[in-house]
Amino acid sequence: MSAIPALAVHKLTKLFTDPSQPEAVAVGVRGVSFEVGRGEVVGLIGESGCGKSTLGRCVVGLQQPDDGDVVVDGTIFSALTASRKRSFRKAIQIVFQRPETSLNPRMSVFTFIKQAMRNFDTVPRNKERARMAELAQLVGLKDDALDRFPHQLSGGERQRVAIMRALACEPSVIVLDEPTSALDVSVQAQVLRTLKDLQSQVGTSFLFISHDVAVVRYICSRVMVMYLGVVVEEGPSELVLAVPAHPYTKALLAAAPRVKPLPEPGLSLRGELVLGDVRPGECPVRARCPLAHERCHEAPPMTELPGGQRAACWLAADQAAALSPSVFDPSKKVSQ
Amino acid sequence: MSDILFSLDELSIDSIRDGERRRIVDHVSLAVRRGELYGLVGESGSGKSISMMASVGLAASGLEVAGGTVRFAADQRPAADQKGLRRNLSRGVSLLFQNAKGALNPFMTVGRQVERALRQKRRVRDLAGEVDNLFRVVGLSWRDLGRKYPHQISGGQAQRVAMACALATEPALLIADEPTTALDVTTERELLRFLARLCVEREMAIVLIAHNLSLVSEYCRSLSIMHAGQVVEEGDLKAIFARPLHPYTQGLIRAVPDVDSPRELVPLVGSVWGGPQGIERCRFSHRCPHRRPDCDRGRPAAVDRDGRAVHCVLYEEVPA
Repeated sequence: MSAIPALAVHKLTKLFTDPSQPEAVAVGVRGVSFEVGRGEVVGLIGESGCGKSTLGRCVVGLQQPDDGDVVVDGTIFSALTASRKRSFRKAIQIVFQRPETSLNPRMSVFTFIKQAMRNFDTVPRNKERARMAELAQLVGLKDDALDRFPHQLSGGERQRVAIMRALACEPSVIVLDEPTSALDVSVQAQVLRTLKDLQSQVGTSFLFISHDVAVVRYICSRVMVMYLGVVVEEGPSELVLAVPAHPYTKALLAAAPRVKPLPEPGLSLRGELVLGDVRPGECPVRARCPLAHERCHEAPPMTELPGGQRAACWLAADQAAALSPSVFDPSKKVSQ
Repeated sequence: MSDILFSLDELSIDSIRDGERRRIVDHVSLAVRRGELYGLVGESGSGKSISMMASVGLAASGLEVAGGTVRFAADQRPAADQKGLRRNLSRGVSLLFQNAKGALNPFMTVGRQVERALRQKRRVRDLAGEVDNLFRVVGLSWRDLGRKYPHQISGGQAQRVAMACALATEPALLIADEPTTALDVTTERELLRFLARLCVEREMAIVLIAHNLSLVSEYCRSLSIMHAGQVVEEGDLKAIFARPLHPYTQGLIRAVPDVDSPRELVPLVGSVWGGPQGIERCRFSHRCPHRRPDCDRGRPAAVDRDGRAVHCVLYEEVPA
């Protein structure tokens, strides 16, 4: 990996308190750190209210974090003055869940994309048409779609326009916030295919926010699972989503709808997230976790597991300790 | 069969816009047995909600029922008699919608709403007791939630309150129109499991409308798959999933990413209404990899094969 990641987030915190429940735990993001390498697709999954969208919005600067840094291409975003920030906005773009609300209904696709290009001067004016055609092909839009207005396009085409606009700014990172949740299954498959092709052709990094485990498994090489503002498990998707270490990830996986149902029902959480049940300083999942025990009143540390998988759970800590300690002792070299 | 509770027979609906008539539901037939969880699946715009709403007399304005009959218990009448069909809503059909918070009255506590649903049909002796009981049935507690307003409860709780209202009339049939789309995966699974249990315990039939095949795969016994207003495959769910026959069913399954074994997705080409829309033809042919000249010849007849009926010319001449 090259030295500077496309996106690095350090201890990002942004909390919201519910005025009707002032003593309950605040929701949002609490001290999340991660990196997205160049050309990497990182998934962020969790239920609604876990803070995944807040994290996405803080990363692109739509929300001011309470604490922590967002570093894009080695530049600390939050340390910049307002005027310098503008030139760096180009480097990180976002695609929202509902394209019908993120496109301008009064602008044709051409004008809309042109605006994005001129805003950041990414393309010389005499080459706009050519670049536009190139981008349209990249995201799988027909040429005649460029002269249409959003209401003349289908849902899938609109989402392609939103992705095209993000690409027109030539960013280093694109945050995709549930980009396929509003689409029908067949259209979702088309857009996912396009995203996968894009990633191999353009080399842009993606932060893919979704609640759909299957979609994340399909498109992401690395995944983070969030619960109540903290990352509870992370690692390569073929590990985290196949042999999850955290009970929450297990429950999330077991709950995912399948064409071929599992032979036996997996782990399931108790009830819904009730903020009043969560005490500060303990494992956030404890109140709903079927495997919770006494130790869970103390927040578990992030434990390293083989293959780059990490989980914040006492059970994972036991699992790691049970494996031969030499594997995890950094002072000894492991020959393999 | 005698245990059929609810059936549609050749239901057809036209939409009339600017004087132009389009057939948006084309000879849809399906049969739901007593106490069965029945899945109705298709992409958005395939006519699944419209057919079910028309079958209880709630066809939207601008739609005209062009033909077909609806049978519910002993009551059989032409689908065009929308007013008559509406009466079924007070005789054992309940509805559950996608947006539960929208279905509840924002100005009334949820406890009162369940109370009103209970009193709608009959005189209730022990009102407080029955309300409490209904809350318990849907897995909520009246003491915690009864005095709250819809905006103070979560989406999953709101859907359960809507369930309590729907169950208050002790229906024999519940039509659930994408009840879990707005919910989280874990809550979704809980609600589906609950619906499946209700079917068994109360001998209530449920028609579950969904756009995602994988949602119905676990809990439904029978299934019908709709495309552009036509039923393409209908019958036993296990048989259909074991060997999907219609090209559309096969395409739908291939287009969904699989959690357990990642594989390349094969999107369906084109869109639901992108093809020719003549009445007497297959409406999937423009997206079909097995397209043949005789696809345009007429509406494909139902071919019975391994516990399901498939509507495709591919199977018409091939003996089973």
